[in-house]
Amino acid sequence: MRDSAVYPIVFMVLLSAVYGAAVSSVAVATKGRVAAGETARLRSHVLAAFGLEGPTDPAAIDQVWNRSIEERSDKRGRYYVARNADGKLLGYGFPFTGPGFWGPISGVLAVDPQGTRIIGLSFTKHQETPGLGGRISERWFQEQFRGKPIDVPAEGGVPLRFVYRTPGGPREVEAITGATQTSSRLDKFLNSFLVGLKDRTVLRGGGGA
Amino acid sequence: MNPLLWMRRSLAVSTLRRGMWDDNPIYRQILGICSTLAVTNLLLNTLVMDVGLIVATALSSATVSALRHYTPKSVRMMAQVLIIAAYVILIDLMIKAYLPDISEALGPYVGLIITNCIIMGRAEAFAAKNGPWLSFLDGLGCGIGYSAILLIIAFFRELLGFGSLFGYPVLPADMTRWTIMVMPPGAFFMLALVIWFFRAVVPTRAQ
Repeated sequence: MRDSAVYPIVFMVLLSAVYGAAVSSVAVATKGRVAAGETARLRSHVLAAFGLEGPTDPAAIDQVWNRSIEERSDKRGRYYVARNADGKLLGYGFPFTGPGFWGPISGVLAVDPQGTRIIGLSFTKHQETPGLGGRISERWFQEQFRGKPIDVPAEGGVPLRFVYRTPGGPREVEAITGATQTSSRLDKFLNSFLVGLKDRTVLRGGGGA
Repeated sequence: MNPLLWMRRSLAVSTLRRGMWDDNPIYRQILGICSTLAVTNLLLNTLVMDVGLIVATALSSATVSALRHYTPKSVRMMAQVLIIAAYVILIDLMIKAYLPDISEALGPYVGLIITNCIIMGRAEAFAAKNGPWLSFLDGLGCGIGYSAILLIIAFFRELLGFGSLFGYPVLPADMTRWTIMVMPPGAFFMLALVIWFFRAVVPTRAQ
């Protein structure tokens, strides 16, 4: 039988069936866990953008999430509405994606109800060089965006300026030295994202939710 | 002691040692260099990659060996790739489910263990000719030999590049970081130094 021409085919079909079954059952078994992990990760980033961070374990994240965040969507996509403990509107969070140096950079940007200032921002996903462009994940970098204006300055230009020195003016953000590519791409797509925010339905109406 | 048992044990020990030391995949066979360069800028990522490779190599070698009398010659390599790929995907799924942050950081590299020539090399060179238990040990030994070198490289790259070990800062914050250590060129320098060190400085066992 082993010399027959069919044997190799039968052998491969059996082997594929056994290993295929093993891989698919594990994939199905871990699917829920993977999805839950991704949801928790995204939620912790959204909370961080609103400055509501703290909890790291999934149950606590869910609790804070259910208390303060509401998901909605408009023509341009999904966004988040955040309220404080008394039900007062804190602001809106908008997911964004733009081109980085090695691949797309995604994140969430939270703005106040009037759409005039940034509450905060958190990057959810990027492939920038660790230790260089990858430092956009570091706290000090993301904290710089808190309270920055969104509107285009009267004298023209862009809402935020990325500078390679200690930032001075209210619109200045310190870029990452050694990661010029990452910084300039961020500069470009974040600024155009900020300018485009005024077209989001929820902000056009003057802040009413 | 029963002489037969002694022989089996010493064969097992020498199989393990050969992979870890005498025929080390990195500095003797110069295999698996791509992943060595890619994942060694942080110790934690390196450790997860190492565990993945050790498990994948040991299990693949044992399976290839167990099936060696039933595998038709004409589809031998195809069967090996299938077995290796299945184990690696299982490991990747486990890391995704239980260590999501590390899975994110390692990106495609866990999946790329499939193409790591160490696994295929051991399947062809050893598992196709030896029993499952010895093949398991051979895979284990080679995996550990690979891992040890990667950890040495990652130790210096993370220490000098980030000033930390396993994410814990150990060097003073005002010390200038060697940014090059974090980038791919730093991996080349460290790899070359490690290969030189083990081949030239560490004495080999008398053949």
